[in-house]
Amino acid sequence: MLRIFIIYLLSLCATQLAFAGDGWIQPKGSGYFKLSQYWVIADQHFTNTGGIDPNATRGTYITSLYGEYGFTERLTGIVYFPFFVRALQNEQVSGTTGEVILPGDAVNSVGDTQLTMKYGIVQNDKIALSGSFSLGLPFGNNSGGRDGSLQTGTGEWNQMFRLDASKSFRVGELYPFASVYSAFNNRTNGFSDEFRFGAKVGLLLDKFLIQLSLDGVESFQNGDANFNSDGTGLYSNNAEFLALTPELSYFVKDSWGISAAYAGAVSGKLIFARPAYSVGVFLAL
Amino acid sequence: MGRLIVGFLVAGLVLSNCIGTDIVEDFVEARVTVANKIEVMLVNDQYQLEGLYFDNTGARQSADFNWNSSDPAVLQIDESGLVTALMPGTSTVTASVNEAMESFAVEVLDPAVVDEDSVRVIQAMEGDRTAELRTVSSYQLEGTAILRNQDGLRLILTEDFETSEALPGLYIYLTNNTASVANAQELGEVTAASGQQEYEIPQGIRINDFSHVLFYCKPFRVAVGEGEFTP
Repeated sequence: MLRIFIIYLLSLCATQLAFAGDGWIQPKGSGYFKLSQYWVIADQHFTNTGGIDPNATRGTYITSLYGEYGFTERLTGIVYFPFFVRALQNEQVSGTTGEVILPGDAVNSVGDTQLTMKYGIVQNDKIALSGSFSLGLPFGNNSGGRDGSLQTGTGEWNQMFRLDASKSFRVGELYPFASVYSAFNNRTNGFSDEFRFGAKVGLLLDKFLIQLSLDGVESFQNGDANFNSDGTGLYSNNAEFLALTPELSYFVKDSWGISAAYAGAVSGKLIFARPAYSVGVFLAL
Repeated sequence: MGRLIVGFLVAGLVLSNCIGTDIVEDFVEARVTVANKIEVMLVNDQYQLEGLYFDNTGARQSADFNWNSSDPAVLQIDESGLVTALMPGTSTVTASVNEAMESFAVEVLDPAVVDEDSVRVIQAMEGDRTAELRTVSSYQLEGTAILRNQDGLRLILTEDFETSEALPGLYIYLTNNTASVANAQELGEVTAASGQQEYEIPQGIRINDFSHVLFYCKPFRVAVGEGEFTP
C-alpha cells in the first residue's frame, strides 16, 4: 500500500512536471523550470483549404525558458520566455545553371513572451481543475529579413483565458493520468481570436514519463485577411491545426531530467505542414 | 547538470545556424520571339525586325538569328532581319536560333489598289495580348490578364479576376519562366483579391518581351497562379 501511495505521489509530481497545460498547480514555494529547444523546418504548408502546397524551405528555432512557481497553495505564476528565436529561409539555386536565384535569409531576436497566473479552482484526489489568464507580449519581430517576411513573433498583444482539468487513475499497478483543456485567446492588431482545446494522457513508468497530447486551434475568422500581410508559417493569421504530440521525459535525478517531443499536425490551415521537434532540460524545486 | 545546460545551448545555437539550399527546377525550352511583328506591308516598304532569344532559364540572351522568308519573291529578308516587300502576296517569316523559332505571316499589298493610310494605321496598331489565368496551387486564382499598349504598356486584370484573401504577399510578375522569378519583371503587389485592376509596366519593356504572367507568393517563394499570353 505504501508503495502504491509513493507511486501515486510520483505520478502527481510527474504530472506537475509535465507543463502548465494540466489542471494541477504548483504547491506554495515549489517550482518547475525548463530550458527547451524547439524547431520546425518546412518545405510545405497547409493552405486555407487544408491542402498541402510546397514552399521555399523555412525554419524556426526557439530556445526558451519556461518556469512555474507556486506563490500560494492556489496560485501559480508561469513565465514562458523564448529568449532566442531564429527564423530563416533557405537560399534558392537554379537547377539549370547552379546560380543563386534568391539568397537565404535569417533573423534573430527575442520571441513573443507569455505571462500567466493560474488558479487552482479544485485540487483534490479526484480531480484537479484550474483556470488561468495569460498575457501575450509581442517581444518578437513580426517583419524581419530582407523582404520583411521572416518573423519571430506576431506583433500583437493577446489575452488568453483557459480552463484545465486533470485526473489520475489506477490501472493495476500503473497510475496513468488524463487532462483536458479549452481556452479562448483574444488577439489584437487585426488577428482573429482563437478557440484552443486539447487533451493529454500520460503514464509514469519507472524514471520515464510518457505523454501523448492532442492540441487544436480554431480561428474565429474575425480578423483581417492575410492578403496584405506577410505573416507566414507559425505566425499566419487564421492559422488552424490539430496536432498530436508524443513526449518522453526521463528523470535523471528526482529533481531534474530531460525530455524530447515530436509534434505532427494531423490537419491544418495556413501553417507549416512538417513536424516540429523539441528537446529540453527540466528542473523541479 | 550545468554542463548539460551549456552543451544544450551550444548545440541549439549550432543547429539553428544553418541556412540550407533549395534547388529550383527551372529548366524551360529556349524560346525565340519577334518583338515587333508586322502583319501588313506595302510593296517597296522596308521594315526592321528585332528578334528576342531566351535561354533555358528564361533569361534574355544575345544570339545570332537566322531569318527566313517562305516566299522570297514576295518578301525578302536579310541576315539582320530587314524585310523588303517586293510584290503582292503572303509570306511566312521565320526567326530561329538553333532549335527555337517563331513564325508569322506577312501580307504584302499593292499601294495602287489599297488605301495606304489604312495600311499605315494597321501597321501602327499593336494588338492586346491576353492570358487566361489559372491556379498552380491549392489557392483560388482565376480570371483574365491583358497586356495593352495604350498610353504606355499596362497589365490589366479584368473584372473576373479572383484569388484567395488567405494568401500573404501575393505579387505579380511578367516572366518567360514560371518556375522562377530570377529573370522576371516584378509589377508590384496584387492590390485587391478580386475585380479589375491595372499595373503600369516600366518603360523599355515591350509587349512581346514576356510569355507569361505569374502570380507569386513572396513570403513562401512559390508560384500561385499563371497565364500564358496569346498571341
